[in-house]
Amino acid sequence: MRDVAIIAAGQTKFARTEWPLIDLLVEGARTALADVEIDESIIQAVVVANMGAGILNHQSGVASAVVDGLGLFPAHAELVENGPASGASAVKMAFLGIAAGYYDVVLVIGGEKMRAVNGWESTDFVATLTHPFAEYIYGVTLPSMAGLFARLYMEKYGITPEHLAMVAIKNHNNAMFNPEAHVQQRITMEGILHRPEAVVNNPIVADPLRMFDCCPVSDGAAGLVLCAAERAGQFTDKPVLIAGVGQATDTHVVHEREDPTDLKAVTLASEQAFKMARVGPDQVDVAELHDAFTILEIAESEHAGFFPKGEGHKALERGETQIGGKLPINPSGGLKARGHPVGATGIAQLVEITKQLRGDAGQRQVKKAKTGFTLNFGGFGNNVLAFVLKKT
Amino acid sequence: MQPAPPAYKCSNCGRTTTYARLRCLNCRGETFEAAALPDTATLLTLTEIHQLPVGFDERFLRVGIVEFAGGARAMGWVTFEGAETGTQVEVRWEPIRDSDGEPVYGFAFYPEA
Amino acid sequence: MNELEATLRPKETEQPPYPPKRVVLASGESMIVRQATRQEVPKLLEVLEPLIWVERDYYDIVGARMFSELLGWKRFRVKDEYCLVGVMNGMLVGLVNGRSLSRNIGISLHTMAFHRGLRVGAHLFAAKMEYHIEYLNQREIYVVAESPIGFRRWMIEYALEERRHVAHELGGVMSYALTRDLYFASKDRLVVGERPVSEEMLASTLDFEIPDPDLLVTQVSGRAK
Ligand SMILES: [Zn+2]
Repeated sequence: MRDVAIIAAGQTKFARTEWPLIDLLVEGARTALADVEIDESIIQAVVVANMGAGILNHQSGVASAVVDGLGLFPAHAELVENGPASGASAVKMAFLGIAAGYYDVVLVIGGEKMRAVNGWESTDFVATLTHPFAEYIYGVTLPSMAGLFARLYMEKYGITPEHLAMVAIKNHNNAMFNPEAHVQQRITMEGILHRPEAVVNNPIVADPLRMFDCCPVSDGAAGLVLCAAERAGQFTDKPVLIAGVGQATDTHVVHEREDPTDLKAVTLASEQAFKMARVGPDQVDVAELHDAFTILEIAESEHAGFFPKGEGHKALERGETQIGGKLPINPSGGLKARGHPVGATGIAQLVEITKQLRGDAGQRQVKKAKTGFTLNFGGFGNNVLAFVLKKT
Repeated sequence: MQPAPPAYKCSNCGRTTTYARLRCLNCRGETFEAAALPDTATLLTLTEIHQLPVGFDERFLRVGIVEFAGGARAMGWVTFEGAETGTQVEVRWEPIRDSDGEPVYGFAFYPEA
Repeated sequence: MNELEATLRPKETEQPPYPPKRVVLASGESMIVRQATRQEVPKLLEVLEPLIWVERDYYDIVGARMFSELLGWKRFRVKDEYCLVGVMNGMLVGLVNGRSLSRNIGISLHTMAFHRGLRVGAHLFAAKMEYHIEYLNQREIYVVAESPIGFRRWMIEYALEERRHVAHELGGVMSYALTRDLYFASKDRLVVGERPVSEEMLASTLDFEIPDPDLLVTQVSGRAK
């Protein structure tokens, strides 16, 4: 297998936009292409990540349309739909093509136009990933799946609403330094939890989770250019190596898991990525985790191996996961504040780690970052991908 | 009379699910027999959903997961206030929604008599 | 005032004022909600004017109607109207307006928030309901919405009752009503804030700034700048 490097990375500002889906994806690709000097005709394939075009935008054949929008004929084009893990899955497919020696240069682009519909329709769209007969019919939403999980996890490990709020406050603070973040709004423990006004400021979405425990609904796109590592030097002085890739699946119906608080796929995917990269979690300098809900950042930080089970919230309390801490988590603002256009997220995580490892992350730069980690969590933990990236 | 709640027991290993499957999650067995579920179960976890998807006009809805003696689990509506993890509930299988005028059956959990 | 003007001008009813309140938002910042004066209307119109061309979420209709309602109030062509403003750090962050149809019935007109993500609209709408029920002592308030998002939010959060025989003065659509009972049933989770507001804080809201119109249009329309 050949080594694969990221030679360019970019994303649109995540927001609520008026861009049609394909334009949004093309714009995401342009931000990545603008990040490197490259003759675009050497791009052999375009892998597109998108979860909801069929439902949200009444559109199919998305990858072909994106190649058309970019004018990159006759590049190969494929769409990867893997729920909220579509982004990381698309990167994995591009990685495999290059590692196998079939391609040298591949453009990966992920995006979602979620605000094409109302909030209750986008909530329903995401809920279609749950089991149709065992879960969906009851009106469950992704926040409610997280709520069911959070109640158990919090009771088991003594996590309080304050801990959840700390995740939100940290990630909102980080996003203040990320111009591409959807939400740029500082929040305080007083305002979202302790003041009497909190009942309105931060209403229950799916108890115990409140509004500020949940990511916003965003439009946006993110892109990467992947290249055989042996050729990366032709294009950039700072290629970032994809050192480890891991993936694991778990039951579709969440309550079929023997221990519903055990995010097995997170553990397995992370272990696989670390093993391939020949590093341990203790060597990671910066991580982007899938904090679609605050509880997930805490739980994933444990399941990925950064902290023992039940210790993640204590590390958070000690400030270890802040920029400047032992292991900064979600310096970009995470899904919580950067936003979560589902097809873009897995790629946006890699965009952030690429910037961090190159030293291009501006005011949110994690000092001396050499090894980075991303975790993209699909379904409610039924399809998870992990990446380990290394500075070269 | 209301129909009995569904339960499918793997003929090979005995693992029971409360929705139909073609293959057993435990042993990949492909034959199942109808099983009877107890009338009561223990609430494993629950949530009150306040931002509901399209099709629901309620202000909120309570959804929970129960475990029956023997290990089978089911999701369903928690119909009463004050339930918490560990609460014993009475389990019913009843029309919970309407699809083009036809009732859709599902699990609903009531306070234990 | 000449006789003709007196004929054209609706007779105002003496109304108790809305006592200002302070609401601490998620950011920890304070928003003061207070009654606007007629003299402030030109400033409010300046904010609304660019929005009347934004189709998204019916900002155009809401903006145009609110513009005309406030103009009508300023120039004495609407009866018993009022406007509440939300001011944070000396900046206008939202406004709501309404009027009294009679001693017992209030009319909810419009709600507009200029700052996203801090639930300014929810706080201001609640303040409007509070004014009608607790200070104007009305029996119920007729509510409708132009935007599906607004409609769904108010209907579900307040569980409003249908008033099948009442055509709302906003477009003649069937009215919904927030009754005193409904209001008090949901007050604890929807109506918040502290009184009294210090003189100093209140003074900080007197000469409020208004949001940059270009920025505002970009924000509400999602249009790239
Ligand atoms: Zn079996």
